Amino acid sequence: MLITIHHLARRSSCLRDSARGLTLSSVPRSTDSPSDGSDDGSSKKKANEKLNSLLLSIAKDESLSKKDDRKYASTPRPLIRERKVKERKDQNLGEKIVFAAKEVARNLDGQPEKSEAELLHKVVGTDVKLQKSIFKASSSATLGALLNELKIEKQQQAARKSARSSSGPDTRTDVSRSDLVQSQWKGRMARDSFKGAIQPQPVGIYSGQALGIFKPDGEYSNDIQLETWNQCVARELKFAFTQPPRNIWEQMIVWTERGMLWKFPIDNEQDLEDRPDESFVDHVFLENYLDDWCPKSGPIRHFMELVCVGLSRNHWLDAQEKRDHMMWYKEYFIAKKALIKEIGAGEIVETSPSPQLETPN
Amino acid sequence: MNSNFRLLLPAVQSSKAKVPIIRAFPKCAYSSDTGDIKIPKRIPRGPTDILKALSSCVGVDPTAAHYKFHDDPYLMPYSNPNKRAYALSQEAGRKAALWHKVADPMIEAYVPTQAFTDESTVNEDVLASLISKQQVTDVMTVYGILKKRGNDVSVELKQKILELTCFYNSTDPLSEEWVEENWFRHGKPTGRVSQFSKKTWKDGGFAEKLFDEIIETGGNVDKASCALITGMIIHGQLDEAWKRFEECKQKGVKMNTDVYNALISKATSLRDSHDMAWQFIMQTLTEMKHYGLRPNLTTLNNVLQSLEMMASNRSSRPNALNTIAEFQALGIKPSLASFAHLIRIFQKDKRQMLGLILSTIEELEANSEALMTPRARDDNQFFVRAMESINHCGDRVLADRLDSLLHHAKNYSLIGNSHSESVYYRNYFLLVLGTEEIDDFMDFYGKYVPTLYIPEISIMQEVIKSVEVQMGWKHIPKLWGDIILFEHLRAETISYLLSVAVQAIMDDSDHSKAMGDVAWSVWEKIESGYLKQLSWTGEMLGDVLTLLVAAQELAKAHIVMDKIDRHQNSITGEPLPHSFERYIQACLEVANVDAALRCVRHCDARGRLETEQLLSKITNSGLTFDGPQQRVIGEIQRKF
Repeated sequence: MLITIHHLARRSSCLRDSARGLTLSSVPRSTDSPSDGSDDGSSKKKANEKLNSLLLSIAKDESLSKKDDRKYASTPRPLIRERKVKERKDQNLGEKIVFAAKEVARNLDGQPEKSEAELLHKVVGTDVKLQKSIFKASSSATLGALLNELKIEKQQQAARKSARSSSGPDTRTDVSRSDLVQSQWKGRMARDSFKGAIQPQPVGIYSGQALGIFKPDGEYSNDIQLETWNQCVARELKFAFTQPPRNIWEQMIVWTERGMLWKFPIDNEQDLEDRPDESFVDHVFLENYLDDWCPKSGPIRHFMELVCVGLSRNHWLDAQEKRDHMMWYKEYFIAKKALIKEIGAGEIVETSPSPQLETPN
Repeated sequence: MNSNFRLLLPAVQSSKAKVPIIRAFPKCAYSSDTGDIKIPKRIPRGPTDILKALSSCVGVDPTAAHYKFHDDPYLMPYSNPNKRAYALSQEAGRKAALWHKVADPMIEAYVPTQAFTDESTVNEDVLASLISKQQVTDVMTVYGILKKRGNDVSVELKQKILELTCFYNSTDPLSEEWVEENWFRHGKPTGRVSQFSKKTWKDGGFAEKLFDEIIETGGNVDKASCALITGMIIHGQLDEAWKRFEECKQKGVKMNTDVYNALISKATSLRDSHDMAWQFIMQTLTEMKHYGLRPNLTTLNNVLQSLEMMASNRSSRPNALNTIAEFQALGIKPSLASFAHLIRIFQKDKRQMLGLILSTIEELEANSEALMTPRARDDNQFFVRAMESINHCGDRVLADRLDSLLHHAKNYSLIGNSHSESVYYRNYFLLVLGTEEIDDFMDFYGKYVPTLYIPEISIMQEVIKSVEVQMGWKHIPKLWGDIILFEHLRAETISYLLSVAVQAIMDDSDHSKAMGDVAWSVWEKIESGYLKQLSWTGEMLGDVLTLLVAAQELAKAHIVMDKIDRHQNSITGEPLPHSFERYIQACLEVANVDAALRCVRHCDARGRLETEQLLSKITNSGLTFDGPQQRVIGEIQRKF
């Protein structure tokens, strides 16, 4: 029994799949459009004619025959839709399904009516709109009764579902494919997640039992460390998690690390390893070297201040060279002490230099 | 003090008006019981700390291309091959440029690399600096030069060279400078313990000769043997390594943890059956304990890696959990790599695997900081494997949790390389596609595409399929635009898209205009001749015709019909009947009998069944025909 139910379910899903390919605009729907509103009677007649011819054509439709069924069963969702079923057939989905189910049921043993009802029930599922459409389409009274019976079983559930899917007008009995797909999409989602969502079986990561080889308080001291080897391991580890920089700051971090940018805080003498003892002060403040000999005012003072400014701005000389310059002037002027006094350019008085003015050596 | 007090007054008075102010004061939070506040004169910071702080303020902008493509906005790449080509060529440019700048102080990164020849002045210092920079072949050259000149190299330095050459198998690793190359590299990097490694070890090469030299000159036998044997194992020379390992044990040479770790990772190659391999692992661990060697995280990961290779074995799962418990007792926490191995070990049982991933994610969420710091090379495998498995189980909620974990803080570096990034997003996209409605999916799509991820052709097909099933017709123009951008112009993709567009106009004529534009764009793209590998099929042309007719672009439809007729011998497949039917209908509406007749004549020439029906459509249209037209009609009618 179970097998047959499964079989039926599979076949009915095939039916639905083949119905998917059928055209979308159903007859009553086209009468809804305002352009046809004026001559309602004639269009209805036309539609009826069309319906009849289509009913005939569907009877010949090979896509619903047994052979095709089997093909579909192996591939439940055909990738490339069949061109054949894409042809225009104006018939609403309910009628199509009822008709197809009848065909299938006829080929089955036992009670064809019951099989048909079961089939239809499976196809309909809980979609209220489709149910109505099928009820309308299924002419047989017994079939209706059977379907009703089946319906009662699931009535509560159906009611709950219909509350959710009652966005559209439920009174419509014509269900086109697009309506069906749209109303069932949520259902499909649930089904998908049901099919896919495997209930996780809890696995505790730390739930195992220790192998009992190592003892936490044991002596482990004999390891040989290979220095270069460990460096290589560390390098590869770092490299594996290095990604292209994602913004300018990351780019600047890379540049800084490679020594291409100034490090923060900015140090003008960064990496000038050959003159480590020279500080900014030694380069810029040279007036100290005047204090012990230079007149407080006058042309010599003026000249020497200019020398100091010039030297302090010179970045080609290092601090020692600047000091040498200052000392050279000192000795020069001291040597000319008498002459300077004579011409009245000031008096040079040598005093002992104060300790903080001593040149660092 | 006085002024502070005055400042507090209004607040205190308003809240506790009745309480004397003096009593209220000691209770208040401003008392000095926290001790003296010392403001440091200066907080010492590293050279990149400020930059890191600034960088952490920059979020991910899903609308912008990756930073590396910002240099030239005009050339911003949109397809996977372009992204790869641009990034790599940028780096190749850097490689080619000889940065020869005069700078004081000298900037080492700008100095061209030195080529060593017999004339070069070399000494031990040069050698040592080359070793620290992992320039393996240069080290070997310089060592050769020094030996030739008779200069003596100290035994310690020789040991270092041995370790270096064993680790990298005497080949140069990729320079750390070439981040892009590393990012786009598919194969396994050098120096990596690979799973199914071929033998790459250079037999009788530099390393083995150096080893002999070290032994002769009285170096440390333990250290030299450890380096050599480990190198041999990780580069696939198992037989020789095993022989030497046994010898060393007999002679009483001490082995270190690295040797045992390497052996464990090759358990399945060293032993035939799963049971024997597991026994071998247990023996090896016992031996480690016997010699007083402390196992480390690599030991744990290697055991799990070996178990992963025996994942088909039923007992691998309990064994893996027991191993983790063993190491947990030793205070060794598993890393992301361990979890990545566990996922593969549990792959057979989906329910258990999902449970495992769930508890792993919970664990990671709880101890994000500690566990997310990379500690092992394979740590970058976790996210891609987890997403893959979650997709197979179809658990959307878990996927979202995993994704938010990946985008948290600095975790994104755990994605691995460009390849694993693609695999990760492919799986995530498929899962979202299967669980979201198409509109919501397209929102999601807009967030990741094209900056983070460019969908592969197969994913694009899936998206189109989803559009078809869920009738999300309005997304077709966007998808077509993306197909062009991503260079996914393949006949099957385009023809599928066109057939979906035809369904769109059949379902809802509101879309006719947009679909007509798409169809014409497809036409222009293919007709441009720019895409050599792409050729029309009859179905595609028929769909284009249908779409243009529906969009009331009859002039353009005539051009397409002309193509169908002219090239009927070179085009494979036939347009669908309804394409012609609609075309003729449209022609008759504007009384263009010639065009309609041409179409019928084409059908006749191709021997199509519906010719008669189409012809009767023309004759029943009530239009009047001139002489030549009557003749044509008569000619065709005679055939029936």
